[in-house]
Amino acid sequence: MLAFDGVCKSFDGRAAVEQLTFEVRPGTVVGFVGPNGAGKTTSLRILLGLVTPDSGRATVRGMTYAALPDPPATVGAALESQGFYPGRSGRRQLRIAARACGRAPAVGDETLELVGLGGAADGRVGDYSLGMRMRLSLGCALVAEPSALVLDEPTTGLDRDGVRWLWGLLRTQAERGCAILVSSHALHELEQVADEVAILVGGRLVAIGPIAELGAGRRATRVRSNSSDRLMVALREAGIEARTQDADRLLVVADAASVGRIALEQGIVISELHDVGGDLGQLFDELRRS
Amino acid sequence: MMRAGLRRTMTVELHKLATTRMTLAICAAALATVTMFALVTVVSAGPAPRDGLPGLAGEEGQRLLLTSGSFAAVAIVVLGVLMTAGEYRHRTVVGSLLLEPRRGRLLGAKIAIGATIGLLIGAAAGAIALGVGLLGLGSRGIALDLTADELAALVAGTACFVCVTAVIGCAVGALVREQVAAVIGTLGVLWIVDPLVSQIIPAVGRYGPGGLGKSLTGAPVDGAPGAGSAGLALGVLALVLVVAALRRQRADVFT
Repeated sequence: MLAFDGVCKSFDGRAAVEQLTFEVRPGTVVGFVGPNGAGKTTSLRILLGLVTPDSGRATVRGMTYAALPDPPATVGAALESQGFYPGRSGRRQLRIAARACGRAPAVGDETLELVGLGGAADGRVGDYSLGMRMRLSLGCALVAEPSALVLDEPTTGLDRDGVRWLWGLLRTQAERGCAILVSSHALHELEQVADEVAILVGGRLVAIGPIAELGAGRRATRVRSNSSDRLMVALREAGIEARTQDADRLLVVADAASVGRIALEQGIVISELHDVGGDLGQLFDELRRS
Repeated sequence: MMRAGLRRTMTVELHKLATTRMTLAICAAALATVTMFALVTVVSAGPAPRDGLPGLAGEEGQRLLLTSGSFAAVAIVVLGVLMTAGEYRHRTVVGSLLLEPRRGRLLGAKIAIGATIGLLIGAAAGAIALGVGLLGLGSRGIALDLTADELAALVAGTACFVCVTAVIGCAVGALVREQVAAVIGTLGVLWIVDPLVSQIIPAVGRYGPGGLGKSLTGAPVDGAPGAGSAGLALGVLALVLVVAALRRQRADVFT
């Protein structure tokens, strides 16, 4: 339904997304996680036609978003930076979204109730809290009952009850066959809702699959070397993700034996080799800190 | 399908405009400005030429009075800029592109709506200037030197001029994207730089946007091109800006 196929994008010579390939099937919720600056938002913007990839394709039902016969009725999207005209009421905003999807304006009113903004429908959006604006964004995404949802950090501004409500809503949408891609910088948030997670670090997909499976057997290693730059290149050439933690230290998504073998092959002296552990949350936190 | 999609996009853009107070305020300001200028001219100008200004008893003075509807262009060009650059100021461009990802169609819909508003406000402004002018001339016992066809041409010319300025405003806003810079730049070029050039080098100024606008509306300008040629030249200027704005639409959107 939603697919990335070898998507690459760089800005000023710096890679933001590298060879991103994965798919979101109908009826599944895929969590798209990674530290800030990992390339999640850029990837979602590429999928939605806001950013043009340097190479590769991001498609919905095999077509680019702009090529879909009825884009907003096929994919509902709520992006973190999405703005609203502050003087317009929530009701009018959703009626406009309904019209854009070829629906009657009354559908907009119903959606306002669905996202819990019925009581503030006629208030100015400029007076809405961050959480209310996020609910309005979700309303715009849901107004046409799309067959896919793309949500960028949708918990921003929501309190604990709001997050619980959102996860319930997403599960309901998935049960009716909707393909859902939801990004977050916090893995633990998505554990309650995602069928699978795709972990993006430094623009590269380092893992994808059900959280339980990803946690099992996944290792990370902290390594110190005076030649950390050379080691980083060698690891990446071997298809292993590594990130700089400080001047001479790397965090490598692989077990210590693999790192040691590559260092030996390259003649690189290692002064410290430390197994971080197999817990996915622990690994993700290490990656986020690096 | 294509036509239905464009119609839906235009309907959405029209609703966006209709649900902001800015649109109503700018249109009201445009018509109020025209009414004020027409009233000031009819009250302050004498029948005979005075202080370098033509008298209302002559054709030149009457044309000057009856084309004061063109002042609506000041407000309408700003409306055009806000329709496009405002999307970046309020970061609504992401939402707009999610609803209509075909960027050319989105800009085309905005320009079409802007042009329609410009045409309607221009026609209303022309009619107001005509009404105030005719009432003023009648109350002062000054005979009209223009035929009914010439009066109709003045109103039509005013409507066309305001329509073209709306298109120019939309295109400049889409090109510049920074709302304040686009508004200041557009007003500065059209109503400060251009008039200054006209004062200093009249032979060049009459081919600037202001000079062409005067020719199009039927205002008196020495040695100016005909209304048709002026309209064509302004249309080409608007088209060049629209093409440039369309090319700019390909850029990545991060706001």
